[in-house]
Amino acid sequence: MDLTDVLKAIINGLVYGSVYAIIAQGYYITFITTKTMNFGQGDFVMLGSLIGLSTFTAITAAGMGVWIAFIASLLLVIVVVGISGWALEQVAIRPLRSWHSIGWILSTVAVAMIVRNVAMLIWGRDVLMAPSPFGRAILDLGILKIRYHEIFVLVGAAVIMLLLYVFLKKSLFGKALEAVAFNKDAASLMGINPRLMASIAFIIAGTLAGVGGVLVGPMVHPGAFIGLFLGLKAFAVAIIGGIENPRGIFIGGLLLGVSENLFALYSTSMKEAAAFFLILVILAVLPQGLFGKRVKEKF
Amino acid sequence: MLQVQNLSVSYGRASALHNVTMEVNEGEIVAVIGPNGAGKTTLLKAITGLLKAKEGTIRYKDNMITGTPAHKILGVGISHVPQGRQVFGDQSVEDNLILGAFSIKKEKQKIQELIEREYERFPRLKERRWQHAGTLSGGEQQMLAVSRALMSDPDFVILDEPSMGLSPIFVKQIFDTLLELKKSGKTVMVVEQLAMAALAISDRAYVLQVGEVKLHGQSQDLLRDDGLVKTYLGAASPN
Ligand SMILES: Nc1ncnc2c1ncn2[C@@H]1O[C@H](COP(=O)(O)OP(=O)(O)OP(=O)(O)O)[C@@H](O)[C@H]1O
Ligand SMILES: [Mg+2]
Repeated sequence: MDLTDVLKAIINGLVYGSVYAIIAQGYYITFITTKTMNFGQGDFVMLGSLIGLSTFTAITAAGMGVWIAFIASLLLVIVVVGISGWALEQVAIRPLRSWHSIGWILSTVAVAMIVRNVAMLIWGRDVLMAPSPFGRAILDLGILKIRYHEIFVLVGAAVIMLLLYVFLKKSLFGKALEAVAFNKDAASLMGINPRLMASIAFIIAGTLAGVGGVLVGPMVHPGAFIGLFLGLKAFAVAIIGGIENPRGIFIGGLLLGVSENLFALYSTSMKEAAAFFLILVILAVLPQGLFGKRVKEKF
Repeated sequence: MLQVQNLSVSYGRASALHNVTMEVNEGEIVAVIGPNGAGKTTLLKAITGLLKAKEGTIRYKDNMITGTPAHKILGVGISHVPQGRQVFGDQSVEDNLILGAFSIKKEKQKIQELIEREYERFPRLKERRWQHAGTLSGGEQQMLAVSRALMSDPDFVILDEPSMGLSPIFVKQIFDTLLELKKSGKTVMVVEQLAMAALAISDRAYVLQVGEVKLHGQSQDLLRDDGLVKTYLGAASPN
């Protein structure tokens, strides 16, 4: 193992980590507004990458350019998975929320299984190849070679999260969402419709999953089963970063990505253990996650 | 302006309001007083749609608003300052005010003017405009809760125990604000534990006890009634 390997592992880690972070922002946004989340978020990512892959392939096969194909597949994924997010909230979250229960955990997992099985019917059980609009082009920096797609993912994910962050913190809508999260009744007295906000939160979460899927597709071999590991990693990121802190999630994502790739230098089997090792260490020291809210007095 | 007729509300099987009939006329300050657990908050919450009425009707300006969800109540012109202030603690004072204007969606310019008006009303809020609302003192939070509710320029303001936990100076400031609101043509309904102080500033009052209206009338008359405090408000009533 030399320095190049370490550098390569770090960059790889940042790329994967930023995808985990995007997916995990979906947990964040629904959690703060409804105190619930989609435990099938990973399968929405899978749906995004497979729909993206099929659309991309179909359009390029029809002779159109890769960028038209990429943008069209991205838009289609945003619409389809965004609507799936909305539908999930209607079907699996809303009816169960009035009970004082954690029934929504089971119901979102159930929806995830259905999504996975439908995906298996459509795309089969095998892993597929997802082409990138950059093809296999590589940026050669001498000691280091990086695929253009990876740079694209890293930059794209950072931009998406920055936009999301600014949108949530600065726009009136974002303030309203935060108000609902803080106190639903008081927010409704301001004329904010909490149900609408919940729907929108799940649409955004679905969209993030879909976009994450399109980005990650060419880096993994997508198939109906990839949702489980992506969803779990993203969930780990949300816990590490502090589920109510979008910046923490971003940093937590990068941290997990980098550390699992560094672990992998020693042994590939260690790679999967990295996430859980990291969670244990961080939660032992900081039970609220890296950047979780410290307990604050309200009155 | 507001007519509540035969209103009953229950939490599960426990009844909290029973057959309450009351009204508020335009331009009045109406006080609702009564001991802890009398159902005062329940009454307000039912009016503004935070709770469902089991029976009875609520009319506002000739419109039936029974069952109107809370987020649509501001739209008809009623603003509710909830018990315990309930400011958005994670957000700045100014953001709280901006959220108060959520329903009017007017131009930025107009909202800025409204914010300035509230800062004039409570200069302390201006000093603390970027501070998280959760870090304000109780009195400042109450000012913020009142200002936030006034950002939408409501015709009718409902306040639930605005004096709760405040020192006398703050209480006076809040009560003065209610009188100002009345002067500016708004209608006010206020729930209070400080029965005497509330009677002193209100035109009419309702005494609520175990979910029923026990007594109502001109505040001045009730104020002269020595038996009132002893009979209905219990020994705990201050002032
Ligand atoms: N969420 C709830 N679930 C069950 N019972 C409730 C609930 N809220 C209030 N109650 C009950 O309804 C009754 C009336 O409560 P309410 O809060 O309206 O009283 P209040 O007059 O506002 O009292 P306070 O002066 O203490 O604020 C009380 O007996 C209370 O215990
Ligand atoms: Mg009360």
